[in-house]
Amino acid sequence: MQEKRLRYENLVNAYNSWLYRYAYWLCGEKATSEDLVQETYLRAWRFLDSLKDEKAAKSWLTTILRRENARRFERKQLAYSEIELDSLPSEREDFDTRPEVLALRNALRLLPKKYREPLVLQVLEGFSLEEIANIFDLPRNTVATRLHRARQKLRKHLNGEEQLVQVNELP
Amino acid sequence: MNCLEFRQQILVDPYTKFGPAENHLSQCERCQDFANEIKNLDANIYQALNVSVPEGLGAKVHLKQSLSEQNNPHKPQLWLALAASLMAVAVFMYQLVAPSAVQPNPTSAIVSLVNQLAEPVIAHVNHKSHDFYAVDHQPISNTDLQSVLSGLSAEIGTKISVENVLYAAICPVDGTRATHLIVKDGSDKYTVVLIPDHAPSKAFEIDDELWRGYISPHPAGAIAVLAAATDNHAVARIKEINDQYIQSFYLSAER
Repeated sequence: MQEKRLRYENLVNAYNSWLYRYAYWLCGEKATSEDLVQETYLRAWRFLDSLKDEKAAKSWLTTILRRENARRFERKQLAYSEIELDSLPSEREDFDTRPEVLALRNALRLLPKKYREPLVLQVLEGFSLEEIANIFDLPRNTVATRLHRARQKLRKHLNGEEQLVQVNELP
Repeated sequence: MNCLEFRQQILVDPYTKFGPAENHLSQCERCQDFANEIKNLDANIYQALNVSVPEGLGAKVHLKQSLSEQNNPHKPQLWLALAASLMAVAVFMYQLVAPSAVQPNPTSAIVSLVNQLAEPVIAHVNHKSHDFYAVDHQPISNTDLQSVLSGLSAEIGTKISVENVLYAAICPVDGTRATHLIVKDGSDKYTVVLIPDHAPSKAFEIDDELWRGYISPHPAGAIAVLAAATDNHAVARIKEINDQYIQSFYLSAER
């Protein structure tokens, strides 16, 4: 039991910041992000014995958090119209406030989720293509295509060549 | 490696390190500018994504876990007992109410167990669902549908109108060639996967976080009928639809 608790504490200390940021870009709300992190770790504690390789811990926790987010929508039965798109990162005090970064933050908010999610994993936490492919259960080439398009869309949006538009999405 | 290939690679991973890209970068000034632009873009993306984390979040996680353990020391046992009771009642009720709905054999009651086939089927539809449910698909042509079905020597019964088939493809599922269809029924959409060369002994209920439905024995294999878990209306009708589709899809006699 003591050994399990030590493992658990190490996981919390090592990855809670990453999980919070990822949750924030999934749901766009501080309070919900905290809840998602808490629920993720509660589930991780219950199934900690199934984590055999510590090197896989970050991917394992990320996968749990994605599922918790999906369950959140299932529990609440959120409809398209109930998703508060404007709530996606809007708390300016949390951000670098340089104009180019603010413009990017807005562009990221408009970027379709299927492009934004792998980009968050790669840029913010350095996940490899293979790790992202495993988390999303997608072929590696599909992930590569999405990352390519994500950067291309952001670049064109910032250069005024192509405007990203708001779309309602399910989780 | 030419400029186009290099730029495609750099957009996938600006920090890629492999020989051909490095060689091209050292020789092409325009691609050096492009690589710098994308690296700068990534640095700004990082800043934009890097929100501050609430103070004491780790401590809160530890506290919640400790309280959870203290407040519910017997929760797992209670949960298991409750689940077992519900399962027994569900099986009993099913046998009373619909003993032959899924299969004539009364011993084949639907149970909430996921058989070995469920995992690859769900993995496949999860992978594909990104494309299917993101947009409204138009019905496919009769020629396309027949082409797909004939690839598996499968046929479609008269209870399902060809106009309601939104998608049809031959897909690899668990090492075999399965027929994957999306069928519209009113406003609901159902995923149907016909899997030859698998013979489940009885019907299994799928209660996945993203999918609800059944995998059932079929005259020449197995059939999975699934609805998206978030689609309440479709899920409410899944039993009825499953029974209907089992009758409607079949594999032709020569198989």
